[in-house]
Amino acid sequence: MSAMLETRGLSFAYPVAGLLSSGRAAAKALDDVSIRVEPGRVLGIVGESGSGKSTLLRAIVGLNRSQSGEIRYRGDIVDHAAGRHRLAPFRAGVQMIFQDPGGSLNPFKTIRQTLSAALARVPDRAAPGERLPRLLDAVGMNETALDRHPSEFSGGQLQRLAIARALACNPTVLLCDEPTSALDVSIQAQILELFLALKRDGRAFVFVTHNLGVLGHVADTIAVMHRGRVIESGPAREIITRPQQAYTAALIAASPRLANRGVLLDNARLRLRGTQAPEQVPPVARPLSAAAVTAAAELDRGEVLP
Amino acid sequence: MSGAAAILPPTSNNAPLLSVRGLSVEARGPAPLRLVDDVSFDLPAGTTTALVGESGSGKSLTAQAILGLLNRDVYQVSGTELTFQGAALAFDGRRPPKGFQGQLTGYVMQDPSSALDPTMTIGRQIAAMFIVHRGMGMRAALREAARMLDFVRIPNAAGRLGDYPHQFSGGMKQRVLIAMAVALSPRLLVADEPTTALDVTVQAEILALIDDLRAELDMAVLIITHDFGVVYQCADRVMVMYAGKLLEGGDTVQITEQGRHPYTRGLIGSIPDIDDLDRPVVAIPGQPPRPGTNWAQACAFHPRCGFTVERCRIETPQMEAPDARSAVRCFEWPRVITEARP
Repeated sequence: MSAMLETRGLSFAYPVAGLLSSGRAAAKALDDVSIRVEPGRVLGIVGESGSGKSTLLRAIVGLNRSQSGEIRYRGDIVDHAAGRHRLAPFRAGVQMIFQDPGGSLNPFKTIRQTLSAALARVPDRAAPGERLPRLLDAVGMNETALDRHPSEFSGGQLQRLAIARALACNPTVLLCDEPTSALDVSIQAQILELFLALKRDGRAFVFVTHNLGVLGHVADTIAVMHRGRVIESGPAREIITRPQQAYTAALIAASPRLANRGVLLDNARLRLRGTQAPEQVPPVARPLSAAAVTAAAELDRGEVLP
Repeated sequence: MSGAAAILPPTSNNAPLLSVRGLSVEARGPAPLRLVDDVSFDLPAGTTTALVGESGSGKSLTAQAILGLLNRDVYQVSGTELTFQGAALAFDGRRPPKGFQGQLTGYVMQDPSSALDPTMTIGRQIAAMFIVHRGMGMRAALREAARMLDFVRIPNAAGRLGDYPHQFSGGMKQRVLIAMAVALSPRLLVADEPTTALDVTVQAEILALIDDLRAELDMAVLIITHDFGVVYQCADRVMVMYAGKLLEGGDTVQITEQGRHPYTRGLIGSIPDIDDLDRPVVAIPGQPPRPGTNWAQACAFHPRCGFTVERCRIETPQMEAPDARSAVRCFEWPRVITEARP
């Protein structure tokens, strides 16, 4: 199957401003990242804060520029420096959903105004009066939402509305940046069900999260990012059940789970001690593999800033 | 309001450190909203209890009411009994006794960035605990602050006293808040969603740190969370809260594996289980009710419940204790436990 969206060798570094920065090489936020996602598929991207997963989404939609490598949408190279006209199909076809739905909807506008503005960007023979209810129905909301403001909704409802706005231009790819991380677990499950329904419509997803459990249930493939690089990728089930990289194993070990009670804290203690005095690692009931401990010790925990 | 109802029984043999009976919190106003409704429980010393529920269920308000942190102009707190280490505390009107906040109890807030003063060094913020409560001079207090930073496993503690909050990562800021909360060796540590904003690896480390400190200081810990995975891994006991009421509570393993309340089962069923990728994630339908909705004549969960019968719509179930280790507030629990787990 041909890719709906792919990147080849994408690299990006945040510009370092200031007088003293001239001689200092900026760390690469993205380093030679190649991903692809097919129609009706979910690519999950997992990693810790600072691993580059959000930067990748922002680079794809053009919020971060000055990069090397290429982005292809339906096989064609996407040039973010090109004019509005040439970018129009890409901009309608690839939509982004952010972590904080409260921050991505204009608080002064009613839902009707927000959604109508999004619908107006896409030519359609049907009148907005018909399209609005259809849009709300697709995300499990109804017309009573239309004349209210974002402050009147809960977090889960806001995320549904943000998804409705993204769906307004009938996108083929949805880029989701931690779309359920700000939500209660019970509401997260509702949003995941919604994504799975949209996936059955043939839409492709790039789903960024730090929660591997979520990806185990929605993703077809997973790419694990660490320090701007994809260090492991493959079928979701394989990554979670047979991780090849110790970093991936450490992420799995840190996931809160409903089995092996106590293993979460034991693994965390093991990891903490591993970074300080590896010879004092005490035995635990279900330890990480030796490789995982070694790599955990080498992990950039992102805790100490220069 | 419900004198005959069973109290959530303690699972531990330890004497309760804290006893709460009939705690209610109302938001004042022309139409007062009852946000916490008739909450009763004991916290045993030296153990970890989790208070779990969705946003708006009243779990943070419950904790803040107990600690005397609620603004009395905004909230009215009432109840029949509130005792800490055997001494009665007042529910309303007066501030808690000197030393209750800070010395006997510590509180860790959810968002470490907004809990720390960005214009003040980390060292001075921790030192303030010792200056205010112990009357120490700045020099001695800073030495204690360095000891506390080291205690919460921050490398090169003394060297980081002069740093400002922006120089610390999210996980390290949360460690600083924990250092401040346990600085005076409190008997009770309340951690309000301490890891929600953090990466999973950092979350696990913070939870392990809190558990280590609990053992070292022999504290009771009340951890507020919405993630049953965290509950299962960390807590000895769990209390499930919904629409201002406790719906179920008891031993964590028992509740997780054999919960009697449909809401508890719903919360667990909505977790994407990393160990069982074939188990579907089942959402609880609908939305939590608006905080303050009056449920005097019905079970608050009945609109979202798969076990609802006519009685649930017209009568509020009381807490009952089917065994010595747990309690549940549901008419239909015998039917719930006979149905196979999904």
